[in-house]
Amino acid sequence: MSTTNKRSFKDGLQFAWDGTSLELAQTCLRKYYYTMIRGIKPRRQSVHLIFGGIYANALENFYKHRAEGDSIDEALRKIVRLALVESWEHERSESGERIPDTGQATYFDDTKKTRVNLIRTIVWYIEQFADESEDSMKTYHLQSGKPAVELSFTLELDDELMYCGHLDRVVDFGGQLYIMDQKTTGGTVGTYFFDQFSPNNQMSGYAWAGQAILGSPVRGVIIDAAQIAVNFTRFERGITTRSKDQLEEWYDSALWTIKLARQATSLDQWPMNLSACGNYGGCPFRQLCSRSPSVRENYIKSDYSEHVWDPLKAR
Amino acid sequence: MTDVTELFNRDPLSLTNENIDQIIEEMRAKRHLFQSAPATKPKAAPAKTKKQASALKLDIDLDL
Repeated sequence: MSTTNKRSFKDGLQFAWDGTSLELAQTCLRKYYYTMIRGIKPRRQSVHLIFGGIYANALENFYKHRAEGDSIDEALRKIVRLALVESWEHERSESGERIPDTGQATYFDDTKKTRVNLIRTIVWYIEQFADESEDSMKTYHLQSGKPAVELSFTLELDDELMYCGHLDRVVDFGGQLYIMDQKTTGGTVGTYFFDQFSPNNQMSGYAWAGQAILGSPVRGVIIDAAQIAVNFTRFERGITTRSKDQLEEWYDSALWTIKLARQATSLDQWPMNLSACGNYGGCPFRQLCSRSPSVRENYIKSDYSEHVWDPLKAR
Repeated sequence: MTDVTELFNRDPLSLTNENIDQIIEEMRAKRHLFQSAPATKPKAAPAKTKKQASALKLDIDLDL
């Protein structure tokens, strides 16, 4: 176990938490252990994570550029370029800079979530949603006058614990505040899809943090879901709301989970939650856990790489 | 005008603004084509098994 070099740990225990680490601890303490304590991840990253990550980053940057005064076309050009670069595996210099005229396009191991369809999805999203008229949804402005985009936060959960994260964008919709989030899926987007976000740790965490940062009630989270098909992308906008009581309940559950995970860390005990191994296409540590404990270290060396997840890392 | 497929195969650091705009226009044209296509009545989907229903959730991107 090595937590000495991790900023989010103090005296061997995690004190700075975010939605990701909380979700890990709620899902499976062994998964939490491998990710947060051991700091490992599979060498081969899921295509869904690659696609979703570049897509979300592109849209977040779009609204940042818009807030800085760029036109829709200027901002779109910048984020298409960004997505193309992020989906290209350049060789790197010693300082980590991309070396021009090296490498190749990232291989997307999927028929729907491909590099071309990633760019298509970004352009189509902007075509559909970017032009916000005055009577619909608009970016909320803070009391300072700054637009509420890219809001990183570190909030006190209790005397010794922090909750950290990042809100891409806060919007005013019908006179109420909502946090915006993006999701992509290869499946159809309907009621069944949106049902999974209530209850949901990430969405409750957004709403809880949003109201704490803004000092105003946050009604919930607006989720722009993109269905990625081979020849088209279809968008659906869904809303998941949270009441004050629901957020208080989430807070209590979160504290309970965190204290349990800290206790497990103190005892160095990491029980597996065997009913969660198949969630979302299978846990990234499923192959590892399925092996005999005596051979797991060798398997980690061959199939996993070091990856420190730092809740305190600002974007 | 360069073929868009060729632009996708080029190092993106070497792409000009005109190249990027060409890619965007191509994607916009595809959207207009998709939207102007006559709507087809969707076929009734067969009832999903429990296994298929859970598989729909599989590829939602996670924030890990």
